[in-house]
Amino acid sequence: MNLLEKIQNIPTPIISVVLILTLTVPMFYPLGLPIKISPIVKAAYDTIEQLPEGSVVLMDYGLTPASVGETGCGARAMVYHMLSKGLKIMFIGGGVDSPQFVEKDVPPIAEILNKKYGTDWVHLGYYAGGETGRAAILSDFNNAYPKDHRGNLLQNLELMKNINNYESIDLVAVVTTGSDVLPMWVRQANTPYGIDIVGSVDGASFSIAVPYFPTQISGLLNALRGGAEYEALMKRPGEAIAGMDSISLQFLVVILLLLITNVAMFLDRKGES
Amino acid sequence: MVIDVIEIIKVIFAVGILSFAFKDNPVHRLIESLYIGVTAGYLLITNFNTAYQNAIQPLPQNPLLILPIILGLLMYTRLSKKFSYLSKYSIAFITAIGVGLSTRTAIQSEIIAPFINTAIPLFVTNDVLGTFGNIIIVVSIISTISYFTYSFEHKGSYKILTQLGISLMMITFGASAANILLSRSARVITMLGYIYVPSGIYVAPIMIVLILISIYPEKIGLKKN
Repeated sequence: MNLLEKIQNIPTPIISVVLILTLTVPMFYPLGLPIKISPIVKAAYDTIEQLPEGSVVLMDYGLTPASVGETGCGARAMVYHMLSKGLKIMFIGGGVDSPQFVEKDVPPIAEILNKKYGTDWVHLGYYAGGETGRAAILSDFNNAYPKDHRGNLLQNLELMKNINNYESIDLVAVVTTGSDVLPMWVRQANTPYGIDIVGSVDGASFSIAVPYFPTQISGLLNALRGGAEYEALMKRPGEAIAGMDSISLQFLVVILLLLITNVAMFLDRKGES
Repeated sequence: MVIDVIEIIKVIFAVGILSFAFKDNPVHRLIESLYIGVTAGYLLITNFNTAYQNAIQPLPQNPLLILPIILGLLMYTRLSKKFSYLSKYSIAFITAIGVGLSTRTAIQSEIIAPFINTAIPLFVTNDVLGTFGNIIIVVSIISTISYFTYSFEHKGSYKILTQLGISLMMITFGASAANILLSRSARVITMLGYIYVPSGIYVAPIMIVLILISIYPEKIGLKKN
């Protein structure tokens, strides 16, 4: 096997190791590459920014262990933004593991911003039933959730005293990796009740969700990149901006590999002919 | 020095899962099975708790809740050949509610609103990029719909339009695939974050050695070639 053939047949394990190493380098030596803000992320930021203090947000915090790397940073940035603006958040989760992420992510942010559980935010927990479940929550919170995730009766929580149904909701924020979740919220919250929706979705769901912008969805974060843009808008650099350096470098390596292997293929063919 | 067991478990699992990128191995399969097992158990318990909290516990105050409980229990009749037909009542009920709730707004949200979204001016004053984008949107919609219109044979000038439609679809799928690749890398970064911790310095190399042994046992004489 000559050199050109070897380049065309680089073993997959070697490519994997190279890609993992390229992801690693910026984690220790950040490159500080600039982040360009896209209009769809700016729209999500502006939607939250324009809400008056005390507005109520229903947040479907659908993080899962697999997707936390993609949508987690954007979700945490949005939560920080909302709580710092004085918005009240009701967290729910459509995934069985979502409540664990609410309990892991939100209390540290609330502590930094000095926000109290029950007054500034509540965690209602997991809901079953997909689209039917979402419709039930919006029509009657107390019926859908007799107790919150921590076992408190809803009527004992100050935030929930005046909230009964969709009429009290000013914004629905959706964090998800399911391509069907955002359309469900559009059908159950935006279309019948006209509630604004913002979202943080994974790369696979983004292309499905983006046609709903701007009339049905007010703004959308595209996975880690969306999270990085949101952090840049908040002027609060975090994990997402650091992660984008790694991804940019990895993409550079992928493009280089594509170029090298294709050039090798063409040269090899030319030599044969 | 305090040993953080959770941190060590995270390192073991992260290295084990990432090792699949190198080659399939028994350590990866073991961790994958553990993950599936834990998830299945957790799913069962969480759903049971939800049913208990929402239906069984408030039953004395609201006797009508017996209906969803019965419908839920009927689902388990699928385990018996003799009574499996009873589960169809529950499935019919759930399907009917789901269809009813989603179709009440589907026409507005899935047809009319996207149609309005694409009713845009072709030319935007003082915005070349905006004009270009709007022209692309309109051309893409017309050509893609033409491709999926089977009332006319795809030939002549109409074929040019349908070919443009399929080309634009391919460009869209390519862009979507690249976006997925970009965002999936973020998942690897998270996994690497679990490894690059103080205990990872000791645990990760041990795991890598164990994985290499499991992949190439013959190299150290554990298995004959």
